[in-house]
Amino acid sequence: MDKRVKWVLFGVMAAFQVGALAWMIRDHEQVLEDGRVYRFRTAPIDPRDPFRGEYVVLNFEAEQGRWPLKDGEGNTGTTQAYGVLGLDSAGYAVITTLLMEGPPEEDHLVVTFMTWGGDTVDRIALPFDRYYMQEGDGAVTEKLLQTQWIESEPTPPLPAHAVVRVLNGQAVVEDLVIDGRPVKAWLEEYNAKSAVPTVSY
Amino acid sequence: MRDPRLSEALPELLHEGVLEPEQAERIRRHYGLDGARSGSAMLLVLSIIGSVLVGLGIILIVAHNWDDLPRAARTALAFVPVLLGLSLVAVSLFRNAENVAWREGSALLLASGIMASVALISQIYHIHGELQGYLLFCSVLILPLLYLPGSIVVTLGFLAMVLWQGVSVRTEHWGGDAFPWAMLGLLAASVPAYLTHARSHGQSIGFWWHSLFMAIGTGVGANLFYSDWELAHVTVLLAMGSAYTLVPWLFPDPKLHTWPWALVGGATVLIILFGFSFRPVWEELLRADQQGFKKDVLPLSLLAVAVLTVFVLAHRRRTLFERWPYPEGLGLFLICLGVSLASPAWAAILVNLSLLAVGVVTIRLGITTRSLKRMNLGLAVVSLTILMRFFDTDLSFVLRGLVFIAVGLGFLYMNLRMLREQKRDGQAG
Repeated sequence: MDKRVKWVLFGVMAAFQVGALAWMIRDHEQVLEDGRVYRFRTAPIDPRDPFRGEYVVLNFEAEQGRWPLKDGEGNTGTTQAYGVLGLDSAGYAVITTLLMEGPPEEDHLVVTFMTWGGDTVDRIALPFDRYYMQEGDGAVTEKLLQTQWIESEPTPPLPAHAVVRVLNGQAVVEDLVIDGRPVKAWLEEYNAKSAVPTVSY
Repeated sequence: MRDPRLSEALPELLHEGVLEPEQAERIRRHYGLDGARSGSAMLLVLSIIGSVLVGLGIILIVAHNWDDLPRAARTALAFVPVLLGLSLVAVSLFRNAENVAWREGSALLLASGIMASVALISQIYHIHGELQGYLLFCSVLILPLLYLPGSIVVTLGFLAMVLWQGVSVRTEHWGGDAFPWAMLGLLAASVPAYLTHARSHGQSIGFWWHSLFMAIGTGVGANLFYSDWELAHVTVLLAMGSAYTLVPWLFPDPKLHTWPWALVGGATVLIILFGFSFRPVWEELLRADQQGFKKDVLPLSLLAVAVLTVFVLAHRRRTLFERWPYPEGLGLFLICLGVSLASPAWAAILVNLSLLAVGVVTIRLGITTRSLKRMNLGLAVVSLTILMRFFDTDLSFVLRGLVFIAVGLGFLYMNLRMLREQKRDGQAG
């Protein structure tokens, strides 16, 4: 192969690989900068991915509800729809309506659901489901959010919500907030406590 | 041409006086056993192992997720593995174009770098989605490396990743309408790389592995487009297996390493025939409503046409039962299929007889070509067919014991006979 042709092909390949990564970053940065903030109530659990490391799965309250369907919209199988975003009385995000055609002008997300020919949907899947954490922090976060037992009395788990930015139907998870504080602050406090040496007799 | 054991045997033969130094030198030259070449082969192996370890190390370090670093720093860091890999590939392309170790090592590092970078960006922006989405994105970015610089190890990794992606798409939504179209496109995009490799290094060990991965990839991939699994699907799978065993006849060069296709195809034919040697398997599949054929008529028809094309093309170059009997296995199975409509029990008996026939033909081919491996494969087919009947017959322990002894003695006798004949041939030569 001629050296000049090789240079051109190498340049195209490098531009494609670096460009794809840059486009991926730019796309998400734009949502983080210009997107509107929504808070989604959640309860995280801790799995792992072989390449991308540890994360907590975000199980959102907004994924459950009751959304009516028009005739013929409830086909068997997986369906995609536009979920129009709204707020509940406490200011947390909810999906108010499912639209089969769009996109709508209001803030929305592309959601998926499964039906077996019924006229309502009880559960949808939001287009974000995970929050990546540093190695070891996923398990700590899950423990933090479990029911605590103090002197045989259960205390309810701390309330948690994800801060999500939404722009033109695209969403990026910005933070995970537990009882009003970012998860990072909780983890710093937890790690500081764990580092204090204890003396036992 | 090169036998790796020869390099070890030559010094011994020289020491024992069997060969003169000049003769040994001529043999070395003939088989290309010079020190520099074996040194570069060792360098290649070390470069591949080293690059795989470094690449996996980068991915694992990234998987730790350096949450303490600010987002801007992590975003900038995301480019480092790719830029590092690209620089090494550039050095390999423009400074060490003929050095295979450089080519393989640098391409492997770039592929690992791409995977690490995508993982890092996924962590920074908490990108959702199952592993299949990640594998797909990485595969698309790695695809150019199959052609520039054209690394064989990256190609094998790419094929494995593409197949993993396709299988996970299909198995997570089985019964749904999600088909791995992206996998199909990526597999098709890798075919020119396979053909180029066949032309340039068709007799190398690397091409042997490439053939194996292509055979498994296309075989498994083609079967991921069904909505159901019934008798028609199994028949087409067996037909595909038979067609695979004809691939060596599709290429005019007999030295080309296309044997893995026959290996995968032959194994598929044998496994299916062994399965259908049990009567309940026939009964179970015949009991189904056979509506799956209607649902999957397009993929089934396309595969049937592909199989037919291979049979027609190979027919001109191959005589009946040449080298192995697996292509004929399809005809035998189709006869059994016809019989099964009248009696599943007779179909099972016929499959058993077919297996015995396949075994006997393989033994005969092994004996005539003086191939121990082939003869033992034939013996294994015959023995397994007999031994598997223990699962559905109520024979006494004494009789079972006698059959085991007979099979064992048969193996010993045939192997000893073959070894004796090989020795005699050697002496005569």
